[in-house]
Amino acid sequence: MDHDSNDEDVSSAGKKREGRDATSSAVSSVDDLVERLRSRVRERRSNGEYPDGLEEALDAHFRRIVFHRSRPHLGQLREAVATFDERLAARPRDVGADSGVPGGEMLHRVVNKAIARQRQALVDHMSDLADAMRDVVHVLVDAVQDPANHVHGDLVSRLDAILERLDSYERRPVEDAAAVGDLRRRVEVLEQALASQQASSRQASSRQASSQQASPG
Amino acid sequence: MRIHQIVPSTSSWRQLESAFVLLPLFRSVDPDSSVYGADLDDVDRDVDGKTVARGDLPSIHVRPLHALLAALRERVSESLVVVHAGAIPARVIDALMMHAQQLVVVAGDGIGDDGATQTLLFDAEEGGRRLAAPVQMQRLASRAARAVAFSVGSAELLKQHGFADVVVCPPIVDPTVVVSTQPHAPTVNHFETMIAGKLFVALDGVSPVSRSELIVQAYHVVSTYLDPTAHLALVGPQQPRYSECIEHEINELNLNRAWIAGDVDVTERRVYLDNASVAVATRVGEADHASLLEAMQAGVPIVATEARGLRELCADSALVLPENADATLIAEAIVAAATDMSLREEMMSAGRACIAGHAFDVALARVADAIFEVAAR
Repeated sequence: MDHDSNDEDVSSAGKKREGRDATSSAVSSVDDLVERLRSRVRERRSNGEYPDGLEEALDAHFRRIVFHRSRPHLGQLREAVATFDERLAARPRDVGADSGVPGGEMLHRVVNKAIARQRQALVDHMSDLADAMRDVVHVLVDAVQDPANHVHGDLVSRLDAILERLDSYERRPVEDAAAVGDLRRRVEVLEQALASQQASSRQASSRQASSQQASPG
Repeated sequence: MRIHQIVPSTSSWRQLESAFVLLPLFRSVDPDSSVYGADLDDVDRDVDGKTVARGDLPSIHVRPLHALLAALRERVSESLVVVHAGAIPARVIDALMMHAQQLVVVAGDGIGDDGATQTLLFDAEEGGRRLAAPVQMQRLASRAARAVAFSVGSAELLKQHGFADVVVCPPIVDPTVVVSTQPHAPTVNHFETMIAGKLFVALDGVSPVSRSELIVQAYHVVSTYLDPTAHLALVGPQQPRYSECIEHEINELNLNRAWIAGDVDVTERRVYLDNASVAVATRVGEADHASLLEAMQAGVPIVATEARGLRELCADSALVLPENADATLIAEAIVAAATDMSLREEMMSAGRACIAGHAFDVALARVADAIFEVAAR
């Protein structure tokens, strides 16, 4: 890495900037400097200091990180809950006593008054029910929004299974090493047996050759 | 004058006579907040619209808002609506169209199709609340008496959206707040005892718009191929879900010297600035004026990708890369800015010149004037 000479390049580019007060020349001097930096990147890449596809690999890495952390779109749910809250907050409208029939208005008033107590009780009951329902909805929404607040049993069991398999993979190299060691030991035994067998057969053949030479004609 | 803040449930603003639409001029900690963000907790959120902003100024992000509101309160007699336009639901815009007589839009970030890939990836799931969609901007433009932009680029974008009267003002930022603060002693001690090697900081938070993933990737290139002793700290407000992804990216790349510091207070921020070798910014859309000015004030060279308002704010104090710069190019730029002494000196000198030309009071007065002119019509 020719770092010093590169620094000199940058330094000289920086010195060239001195004495230029116009904005355009300042921009051009920065652009010169940037071009020198670009050529330095190219040089490092051609020298093998930067691996090919480095930037693309880093971008792809970050995209993978983001992809695995995307969350569901809950905007529509929030809007629905807001509408629900607004409607619950609205007071029940009074029932009018208007009537097109003579004496009808009086009759409506009497009926309204007669059932007012029961109606209020009913409204109170419905309000209590609605409040309870609103609480339930909010708890449910919170649970949906926060993954820590709810559990998917089916996913957990699958995850457990995957983790177990992962554990077995992680354990396997240790077992493989033992197996390889055992095989190596057995091969060594076989090699030794073969070597001694070859040595004894060589001895036998040399003895046979020498006996043949010793016997005349 | 009453200053009203809009929350989706309020209805009191319907009777108001003027509106001041505040696009994300100020950074928001909590992206789920429907008003300003959690960093404005000291501002009352009165759904009846009767409460004005109040309280001390605990953060550099809050102070400009308070100062602006205070300046306007002194001069504008009419009711005023403050809306975080990045979070404006369509129905609020509907009502603004029908009821507001005067409408001033102050636009920072969030007025265009910024941060296309990552921002859409995250915001689509949240109802697209962060960015004001072009169609919403066009509707605001049809009713706005004036728009205030903090860069020429944003002004051009607003004009493209149909805003007729657009005024460019300097950003309301006081970069002296951090450097004039006493540094946080435990953090100083931590840096002295635990941190060796160069520190690169990203000061504009952890969010899709900040493209923190690109900074982490560039740091991965630095620490793997160029300087194994370097550190990276991501400082500033975090978008929780995105931040979670960045944390996983850091862990999976085994970047032991990188961490998310988060939205630390000014005393800790001071320590990060004091120890930083380079400030890195890869934000899309509008540049983050506050963090850039802070870096310049602290004498930290900036490596940044192109953004609206970046060159006009930083001039030669930033090594400006193309917006589509990849991780290796950013890494090379960071190392050059950290090791080339003459380049560093030149950038710091340019930064000091930029800071000398920026004044909080002047910027504040310019924005207040721009709004006041409309209110006085």
